[in-house]
Formats: sequence, structure tokens, C-alpha cells
Amino acid sequence: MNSRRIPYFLILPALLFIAPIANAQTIVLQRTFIEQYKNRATIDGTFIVDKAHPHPNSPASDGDLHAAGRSIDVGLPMVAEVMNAAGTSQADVVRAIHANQGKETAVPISGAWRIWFEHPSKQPQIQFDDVPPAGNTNPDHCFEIHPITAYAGKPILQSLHEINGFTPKDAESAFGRYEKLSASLEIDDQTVTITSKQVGFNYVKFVAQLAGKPDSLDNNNGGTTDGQVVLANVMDNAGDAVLVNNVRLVFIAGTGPAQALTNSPDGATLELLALPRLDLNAISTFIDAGGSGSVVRKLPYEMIVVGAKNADNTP
Amino acid sequence: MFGLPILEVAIGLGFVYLLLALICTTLNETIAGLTGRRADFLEKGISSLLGDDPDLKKKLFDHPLIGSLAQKNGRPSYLPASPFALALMDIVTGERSATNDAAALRDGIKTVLKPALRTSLLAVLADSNTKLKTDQEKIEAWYDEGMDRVSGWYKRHTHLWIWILAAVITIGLDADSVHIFKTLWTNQAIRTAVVESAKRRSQGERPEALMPLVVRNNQNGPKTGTAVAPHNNDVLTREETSELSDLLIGWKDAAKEWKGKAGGELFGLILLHVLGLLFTAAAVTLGAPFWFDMLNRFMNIRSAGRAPDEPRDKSSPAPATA
Repeated sequence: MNSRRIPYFLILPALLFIAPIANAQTIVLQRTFIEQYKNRATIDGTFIVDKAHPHPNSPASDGDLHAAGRSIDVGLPMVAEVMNAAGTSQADVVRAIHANQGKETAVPISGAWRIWFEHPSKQPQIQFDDVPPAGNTNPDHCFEIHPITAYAGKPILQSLHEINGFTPKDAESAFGRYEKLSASLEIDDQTVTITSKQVGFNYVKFVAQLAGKPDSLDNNNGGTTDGQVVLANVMDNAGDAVLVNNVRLVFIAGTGPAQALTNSPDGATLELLALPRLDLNAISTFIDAGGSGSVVRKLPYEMIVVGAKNADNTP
Repeated sequence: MFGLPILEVAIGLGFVYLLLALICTTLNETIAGLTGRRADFLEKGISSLLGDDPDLKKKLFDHPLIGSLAQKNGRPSYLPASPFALALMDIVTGERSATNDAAALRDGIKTVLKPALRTSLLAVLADSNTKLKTDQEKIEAWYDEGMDRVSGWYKRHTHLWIWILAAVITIGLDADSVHIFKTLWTNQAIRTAVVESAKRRSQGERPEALMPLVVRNNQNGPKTGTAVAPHNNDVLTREETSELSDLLIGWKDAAKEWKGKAGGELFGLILLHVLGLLFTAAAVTLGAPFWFDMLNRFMNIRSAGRAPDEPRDKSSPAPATA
């Protein structure tokens, strides 16, 4: 039998019958919120804990402690997560979260805001629409405060470091996925409706070479600074070729990674642990340039750096 | 070993369908934007929900809670449940009563609304579902159910548009699958060029993500960026346009091919041409993401079964050695 004929008969019918299947998530953000957080690393507000995990995840699973709840400052179904939650320095915060669970008490919280399409909902999630209490620790959500940097007045900035015993995603798998993500944006005078497909790839470890000088995240010249942002080239797993150019890296003020950035000279190479999030600055810039109506583009993302060391092994 | 020519023909066909589907999607989105299709459907859905009462619909759309959500053309294309419920309750309770006054709401429903809507809304408010505690929540749930139906209408309508546009594009460009197949099968130069373009396309982002929103071109200004074509979407590259024109026969050439033929032979040629067009139109309706994923699969198969003298694709890792 002539094997050259096999692909013809197999492939052409397959063209018609195999369709890609993926979940999509729609979130409607207020443009005022986008403007407020486009140049901020973190969000400060209050948080009502509806459900929290009784124990932190095992280190192999990521070591986080999840708490699902509501915040009037966010207005979306959400979770907040403590990084390295089993650490002794985080014990007071974990206890406070458990103590407030189910009490409908709005308690001050700070941490990195994070919009990411990880837990899709069948219904669009509309910002500042009514948010029902969470029924479990992981409700459908695409907004997180992750990692928490302070809760109930207790700072845990030192919780941002590598997770011992956890294997993060590698650069090629994670950035390969992020770079192929698309988003549909519908921009009107008040809101931006964003739809994108479900994606995980949370914690990723990679080597990045600083491409420029850091700039302060100054709350849109509001007089406060909560971190730094810098462009960097993400390297491949071997660390010898650039995988993605000019990725925005966000460092939270007062954390170990922010200190590592301060200590790094121009063009330094850093080994980082980071979480991806939607880049609100890119959306705002696009709208400012006249972008309106419906567009379908690459999903704009940036990385929240939660662990860092100089790749040359200097602290 | 795989038969590479036939695989390359399949890649070429998939690539053509991908490009045509991209044109189709872009046209559809442009038309939807220009005609305010989403806003139309929202208005139609709300009108149906309100029992086709034009006065009530006008009052609702004129209400400040809804008006503030309107786009530049004066109509919102999306309306959350909460402002809808609050605006409706405000209209029904009137100026003298609070929006959440349960008695005023029921009185208003009985006096202000038309019989069909009155019956529906009173039934909605009498709903004993314990999850819905307030009147507002019950109206919101009723609205959300209505909007689910609207979403279904919109999807069906969009699908119909995609079919129409796919047919228009296919006929307009005379994109006959049979002819494209023959050209790719017989002309190795075109096939090679098309496969190269397909490879470039498959290594890039998915088709719906051809461009970023913003390019960060000032390395010392991470908070700044240049918006990419906020008013314009380039669908195809120049090379892709050129390859597409190489593969499409065009009506003039098709007519030349038929000239001088008669009877059964002419009928056969025309029938084959029509079948080729139908096949293309059907393939285009599957959408660009489908063909992008398919192209990637073909490329993976081709990469796994490449000819011994063909250089390895850099994007595919070398096999592990013992």
C-alpha cells in the first residue's frame, strides 16, 4: 500500500471535525478602576473573608493559603492569598483570616492586585455589581489579591520569597502560553469588557535581563509609591537566548525582590519567581491613543515578582 | 515516513482557510461595530422583557442609571442587571416613594405596567427562591434569564452573518478549494512558498491576537508605550496577500477555462467549481482559531516526519538521545 495516500484521507476529514475547546471568561472593568490601578503594584482596601482554607497548601502545591471573599474596593468575586503561609512570620495573619472567616467583618488588606483568567465563570463578572458571599474557598473568579502583603494591620512583606519544595513552571512553557493568549476588548465610555480563555501557569521561574531603568509605581503621581516597574528580556530555560522582549516586571515596595532590584546594576540578570497579571497600563495607553469599540489583540500581561536573586548568585 | 507533498497541500489549504477566516472575522466585527449590532440586540431583548411597551422602554433608557452606560451613539451595548433592576424599580415606584419600598413597588406594578408585564413581574416578586432575598435580586435574576436568551439570539445571528460573509468572500475571491488543491499539488514553487508562510503564521500568536495593544519601545520608560493601530487592524501581511492571489483563480480565469467547453464537460467543470466554492465557504465558517490550531497540528506532524535532508525546524526540540 502506498503510505503517501494515508495522510490525505485521514487529515482532510479531520480538518472539519476536530475543533478546539476552551473555556472563556468575561470580566467588565470600570475604566475609573483601570486608571486608578494602571500605575500601582498593590491595592489597599477592606476584605470580608467568607471561606478560607483551614491549612496552607502543601509546599509541593505552592504553599499558599486561599481565602475567598468580597471587597467593596474591588467589586468582583475574588480570593486573597498568603504566600508561604506556613512560615512562622505569616502565622498571625493566617490566624486573623481564620478568626474573621464568615463574620462579615471588613478588615483592612493590602497586596498585589491581580486579574488573571484562571477560574472562569459561565456568566460575565461585572465590577461593582452585587457580589454574593463565596460558597467555597475557590469560587469562579478572575480577581485576586495575591500575594497579600498586609492583613488586619499585620504586614507580611517578608512572605515574598521562593517556595521551598515547590516546582514552578519553567520560562518556555509559561511564556510560550502567555504569548499565545488573546483577549477581546470592548471599550465604551464607562467600562472595558475583557474576554479571554482560561489560563493557569501561575508561578513561573525564569531568568530576566533588565532592559532599562526601573521607574516608580507612583499611583499616577498621587504622592505615594508602592513599588517599581522595569522592562526586562525574559530568557529561555537555558538562559542563553531571549524568549520575550520588554516584559513589564512589577516589584512591590519593601519586599526582598524590590531590594534585589535596587541592588542590581543596569542590565543585570536576575533569577525570578513571578505571577502573571493583566497589564492595565497597556489597556489605558491603548484607550488614551483613541482605541475604542471592539478589538481582539494579544492579552496584555505583566509579571508580579515574588522572588528574586541575582543570577550570578550574589544576593 | 509521511508523504510530505500531500501534507504540504493540507497545510496550504488550511493556511488559505485561515486567511479567509481572518478576513471574514474582521469584516464581521467591523460590521457589528458600525451597525451597533450588540446595542440592537440588547434593546430588542429589553423590549421583549418589558412586554414591548415602548413608553416604558423609553423611560428606562432615559433613566440616568442606564443613560450613564450609553456609548457615543446613545445606546448601551451592555447593561448589568443591577442598574436595570434599580432603574425599573425607580420608574415603577415613582418619585414619591423610595426605590426599595416593597408596597410602592407592587402598587406601581399594578397601576403603571401593562397586563402581560404586570403578571410576569408580580410572579417574579412572589418567587419563593430563598437565595433571592430582596425584590431587587429577584428582578435581577429575571433580567439575567432574559439576557441569556438575548445572548443565544446574538450568537445565532452572528453565525448567520459569518455564513453570509463567508459566502460573499468565497464567491468574491473565487476561492475554489478544488482549484487551490490542484495548484498546490502541481506547483511545487507555490506550495513551498505557502508552506513557509504558513510556518511563520503558525509560529506566531493565535489569529485573534495578531497585534499587541501596546508596544513598549522606551526601555527606560516602563510606564509608557505606543498603542498599536488603535483605529486599524491589518489582517494579512503583504506576503500572505500575494500568496493568496497566487492560489485563487479569479472569475476571469475560471471563465477562460470554461470557454470552448460544452455539454457534459462544461457542466462537470461548473459543478466541480461550485462544490469547491461550497467547501471553502463551509471551511471558512469554522473560524480562524480553528484553522490556526489545525495548522499547528499539521506543522507538528510535518516536523516529526520531515525529509532526511530537510533542516530541522528550530521551534521543535531535538529528540532525546540515549
